Amino acid sequence: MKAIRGLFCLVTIVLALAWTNSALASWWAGAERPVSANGVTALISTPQNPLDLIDIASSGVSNWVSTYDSDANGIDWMQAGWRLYWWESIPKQYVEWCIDCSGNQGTYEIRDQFATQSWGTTVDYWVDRDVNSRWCASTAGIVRFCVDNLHSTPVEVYAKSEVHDSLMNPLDTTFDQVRYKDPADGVFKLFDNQVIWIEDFPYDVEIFSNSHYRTFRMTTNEMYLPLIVR
Amino acid sequence: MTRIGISKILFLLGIMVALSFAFIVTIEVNAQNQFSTDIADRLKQQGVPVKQVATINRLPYEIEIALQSSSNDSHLSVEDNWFMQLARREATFAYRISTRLKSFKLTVYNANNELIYSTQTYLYPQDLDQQIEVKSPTVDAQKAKEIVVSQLQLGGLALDKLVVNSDGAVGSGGQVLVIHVSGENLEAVNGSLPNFLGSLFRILDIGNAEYGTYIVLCHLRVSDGKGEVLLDYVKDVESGSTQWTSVQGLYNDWFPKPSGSNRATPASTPLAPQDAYPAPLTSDETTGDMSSQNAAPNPYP
Repeated sequence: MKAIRGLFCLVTIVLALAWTNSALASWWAGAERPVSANGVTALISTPQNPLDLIDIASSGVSNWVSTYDSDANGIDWMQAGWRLYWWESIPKQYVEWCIDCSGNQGTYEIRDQFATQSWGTTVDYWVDRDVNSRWCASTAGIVRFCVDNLHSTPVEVYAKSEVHDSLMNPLDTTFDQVRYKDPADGVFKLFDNQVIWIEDFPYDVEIFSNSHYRTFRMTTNEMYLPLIVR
Repeated sequence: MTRIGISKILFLLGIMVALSFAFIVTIEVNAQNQFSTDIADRLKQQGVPVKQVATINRLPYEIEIALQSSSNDSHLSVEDNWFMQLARREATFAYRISTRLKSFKLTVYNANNELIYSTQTYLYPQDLDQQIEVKSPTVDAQKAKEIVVSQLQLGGLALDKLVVNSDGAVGSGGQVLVIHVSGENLEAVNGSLPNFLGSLFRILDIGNAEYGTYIVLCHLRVSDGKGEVLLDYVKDVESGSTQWTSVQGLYNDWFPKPSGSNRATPASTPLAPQDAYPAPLTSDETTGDMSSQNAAPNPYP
């Protein structure tokens, strides 16, 4: 009976995976800190070995720190990190931002041709409030881009991986020294237990601490074995 | 030589140095003013609605390019995507023909003369896009067009327009790709857009190296059967600067975005005191030797 039930679960999951793979989407894994902050920073690593991505549409992965604010006018954010499309061989550092991006309004903007990030390396990515509603994005310790009139108050901050267009894409990213900028004193502090962990199946988070974790794609064994054993 | 004689010589030398310095500063100031005027003129020649190009800092050299939008509200108009990218391109690649900028501000004003957009982009000599030499394509526009068409996966989209023009920016020998595609409605467009965009982005990223094209700018417009613009996308391939506007419901999994979780807020806990964390450097503070290979905030190579 147990074997039949395990087999049933296995078939169901395989069918679910096959179905979701045909529908393009995005999946996230990492940490969200919904308590308002004036910035976020993290040391984000690339895997030791190149990722072998699925060659479909704009399939890829991105790993970033980001602000997030949603109000009546839409969603605003600014982020910095590295990303890789399936046809690329080396990840690119990038900064991106958007104001009032929902409905038919809003203009998106990305810059991604200033530096690459080699495999097996770590870069400091940073988004923080400069003065008033001016926010800046930095990579590798220097300012790349600033936006005036972004967030006028402290906002939620995230440090996550994002997988695009295929959940068969591999993922193996380490986030370390993940910090938020405390609005009370302007000091960057390590992510504490005011964190929500995001783990969109089949992607998961290996948590070493609230400010140090690895995002990855579960292996077949990790996905199916617990169901069969149960 | 007497002490008075030496003093006179030193005094004269001092005067000469001061005059030389003033002369050099005057030349530099005039050159910077001319630079601003030239950028404004070049943009106007390309049809960009420039309000003004002003110097906001002389050392390091930083300018502001102000554009006039046709928008009546706080949002940019669709046409602004193209104009803003041309403005960024002139500033980013100024080093090819004239002075290298430390940073540039790009501002846009609506029809009511209200500021609706303001950003500042920092440039470093070590950046990949600041080391690109001027190149020319090895294939002509017709051949480039054939290459692009052969690589695009249109699916159910109709190819309404595809032209390859020469880049109007001074110092550029590149090609400008303009593509208009359309589908019956949003649903039909979404059915074909993922593979179409993937094929376009791929050709923009690797086409110049593989096929002998030299596409430096791409302007894509996706419309529905009623002519409504669903996506207006402009990419400067050399600088990696991309700007776009899209309607709600259009396929959008191709770019990074935060997902608002709307999940339960964790309980608040007291914070332990921690050491301050050093801030990133501004353009004035950066040094020449910068490495990204280590845990930062180390400077960048």
